[in-house]
Amino acid sequence: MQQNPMTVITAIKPNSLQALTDYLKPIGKDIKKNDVIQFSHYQQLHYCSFFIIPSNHPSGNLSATPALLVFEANIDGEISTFINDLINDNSVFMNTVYSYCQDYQDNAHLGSYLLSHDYGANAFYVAHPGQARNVIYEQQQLRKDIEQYVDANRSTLLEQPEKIRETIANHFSSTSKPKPQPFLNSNGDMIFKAILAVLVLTLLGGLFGFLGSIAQIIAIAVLVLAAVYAIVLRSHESSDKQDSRPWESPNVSAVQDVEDRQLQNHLTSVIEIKSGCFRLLTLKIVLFGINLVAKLVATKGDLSGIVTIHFARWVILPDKKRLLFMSNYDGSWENYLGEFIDHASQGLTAVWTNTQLGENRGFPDTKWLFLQGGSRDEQRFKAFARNSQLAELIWYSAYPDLSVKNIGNNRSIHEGLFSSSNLAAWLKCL
Amino acid sequence: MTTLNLQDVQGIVFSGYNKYMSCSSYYLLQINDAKKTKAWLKNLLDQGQITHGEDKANDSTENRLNLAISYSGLEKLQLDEASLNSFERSYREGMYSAHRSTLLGDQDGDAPEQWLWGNKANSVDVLVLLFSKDASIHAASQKQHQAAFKKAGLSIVWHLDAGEKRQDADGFAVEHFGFADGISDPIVEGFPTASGAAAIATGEFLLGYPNQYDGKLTQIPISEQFGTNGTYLVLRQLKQDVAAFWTFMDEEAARQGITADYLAAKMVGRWQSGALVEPNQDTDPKTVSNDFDFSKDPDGKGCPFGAHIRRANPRAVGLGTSDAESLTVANRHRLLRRGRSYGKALENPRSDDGQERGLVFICLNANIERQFEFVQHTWINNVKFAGLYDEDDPLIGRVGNFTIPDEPLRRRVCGFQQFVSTQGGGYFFLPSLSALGILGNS
Ligand code: HEM
Repeated sequence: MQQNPMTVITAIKPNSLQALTDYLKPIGKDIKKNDVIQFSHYQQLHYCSFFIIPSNHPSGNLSATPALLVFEANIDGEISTFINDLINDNSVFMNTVYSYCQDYQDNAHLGSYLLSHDYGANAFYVAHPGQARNVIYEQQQLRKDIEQYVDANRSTLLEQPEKIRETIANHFSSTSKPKPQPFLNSNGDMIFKAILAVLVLTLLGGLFGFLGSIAQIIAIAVLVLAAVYAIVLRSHESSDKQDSRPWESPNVSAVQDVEDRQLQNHLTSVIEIKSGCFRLLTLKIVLFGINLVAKLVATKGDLSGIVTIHFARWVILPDKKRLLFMSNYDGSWENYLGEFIDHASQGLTAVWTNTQLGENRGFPDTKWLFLQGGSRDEQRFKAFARNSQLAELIWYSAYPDLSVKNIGNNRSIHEGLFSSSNLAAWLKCL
Repeated sequence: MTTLNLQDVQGIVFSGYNKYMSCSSYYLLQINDAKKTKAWLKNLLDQGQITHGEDKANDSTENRLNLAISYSGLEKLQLDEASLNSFERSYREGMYSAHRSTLLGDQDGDAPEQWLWGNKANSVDVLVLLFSKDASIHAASQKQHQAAFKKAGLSIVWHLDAGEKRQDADGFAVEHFGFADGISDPIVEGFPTASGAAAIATGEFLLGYPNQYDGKLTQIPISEQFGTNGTYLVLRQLKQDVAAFWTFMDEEAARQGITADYLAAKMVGRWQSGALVEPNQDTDPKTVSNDFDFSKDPDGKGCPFGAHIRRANPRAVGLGTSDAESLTVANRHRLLRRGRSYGKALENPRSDDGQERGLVFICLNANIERQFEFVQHTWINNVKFAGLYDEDDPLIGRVGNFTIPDEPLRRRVCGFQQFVSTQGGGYFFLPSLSALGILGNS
């Protein structure tokens, strides 16, 4: 089962901002017990959130645009199915929310309205591709049962590893076999390397004339283009100004208020893309690359060394002037930002170096797109990220008590019931 | 090589004065008359009473004194708003604030509302740390300073006395559960105490110097002149229930067919002597060393992932794809511990005497959010630490579950009570001597 990103972005009617906020906020405060909508009812739903992007966020540059409502979800299967389920089962909620938004007509048109406002994602990362919500639930239950069994029988179980596995497997013989993982989880890495190799070889082969003169011209053109790109990039980088004010967005307190209420957190960041088509183009190329890496390489609960992200996505807003980033992660904000800096400085710098909090308030100074500077300037980067954040009104997690590592481990436990290879590693999972 | 102006840095940064000062007291004070407090501060400085790094103790040294100020203290000393806002957010909000308490796990019985001091009702402005060579000198010094507090417009909200400290044969302090403490201390560049290769940049513990992120400077409050050579000081009064701890160890060990010492050592990660718990060890080898990075114990078969010292500093395992990367990450979250035990040692550790005892946990760091709070939240309290499911630090946490990796099957200890609870705490700024001068003259 494939996981998909839904990002429905709609303009809020003038004068409806407060009423919409007042409607959503109490639901978010009591996500488990409110009597309006129970998100746990939707079995395909991993995470979802509702939040508002004020017209003046992050700076006043865009004050002419209306405030936007974003309804974002990570789901198993088709987005249209999810939308239909929502409209069927929680029509009052859905219609109330969207009656505050521009171009909303009525219940009958709500489905197509939402679908036509779904912007998906420019780049989308899933920690465990293919793991449906229900599978995650089942495997957690299985792990708990096995844990209990081992706790109760530890002294009699202490035998040869093969014997231990056999005893446990026999005891849980009614468990059904896990579905095989998606093809790309195990082969994407190779495909990615193959694509890179083909690109490099074609370029080199073309350059040295092994592939004919047309290929040679193209290869030379590519190199010239790259050189021109590099020059333009450096000229942008040397004139861009980093945010040097010790400045804290008024949103920070609101953001902090909805943080750390449980083991996982949700991060929403909206930031301006630096003006001009050069930065927009660069951003699109980088996001394309990240998406490719996410699909092919980062398929095992690890996004370039960050092991705490369940789902993440980057969306260029319809106005093409702002970048939206969202993620559902384990642990605290401080840890999350730290992991970004410690392990994924290059990727994140390549993305956000194209952005700013406002005129002359850019991302920390960067050289060569990602090679130097940028997020390595720890405190400046953290302040930049903090100031771009928005507090969500509603946030739902289907499994707030499971970490990315837990989910991977549960899967290994399940698989190990049916395989006797690598026994020692399996026993460590229990 | 960083050269420090040692005369400008308060002495507690470099040493807990364990060698020469056997007594100490911690005064938590409230400012009632800022003008008088400033005069007192100026006077302390003029008389050279505030111990700095150049002022090295020896056998005849009688006293040491250091001083730190909370955010409310700075407010009362009438710093302007821009200056106040230049301090880091956690310090401004205070340890008792709602968001900080959630982060630190100060909930229910540990919630600030239950604290003896440091909450809204009993807020603290100034912390004075007094040390003396022996009990009689200490008594005299306490008397003298208490009188001075009165004249300085300072009232005592709370105070903690560390009884004469317990030391083991190796010269390490022994905390109330009976374990050697103060063994692992970061070796900091430019510190007079640093011998051998310094592992940690000065800027992790003193403002105004390069830190562990490519030598960047950590944000300096107010101005370079004010902030340089200062740092943040975190203090927590952590009550230890020694009898409950050892009684539980006895019972559980008997149930599992192991020894109480073994179980307790697994929880700490070191044996009582301070020796690291290594794979295939059943008893204390009594060879204390800090020269390890867990790379010889990647699966936690000696020192469990969940053990106190492995959570508090995971070193080279688990924080990156290589040992070196993990170590780099771990070293961005180090603490300079400067606390001591308070209260008398429990004579029979299995039988409670009704008296309070515990640890005056003190640590210094240049960034509370990235260092102390991070260690407390992301490592010590984190039930998901190192891929675990539902357990926090077995020694000082609240959950009461603990996994001991073992071959062929892990051992689990479940449903035990909390042994350590928070009684009070605060975030302070430990100014340089020149900053104290600025405050005293303002
Ligand atoms: C009553 C409470 C506590 C007790 C009894 C206690 C006890 C100990 C002991 C016995 C050690 C090993 C000796 C050593 O390496 O120096 C240790 C190490 C350590 N503890 Fe605690 N501790 C307590 C609270 C805390 C707290 C609240 C923190 C931080 C949030 C903390 C952080 C550390 C660190 C960083 C180390 C050194 C780890 C290393 O570098 O190997 N401790 N503690």
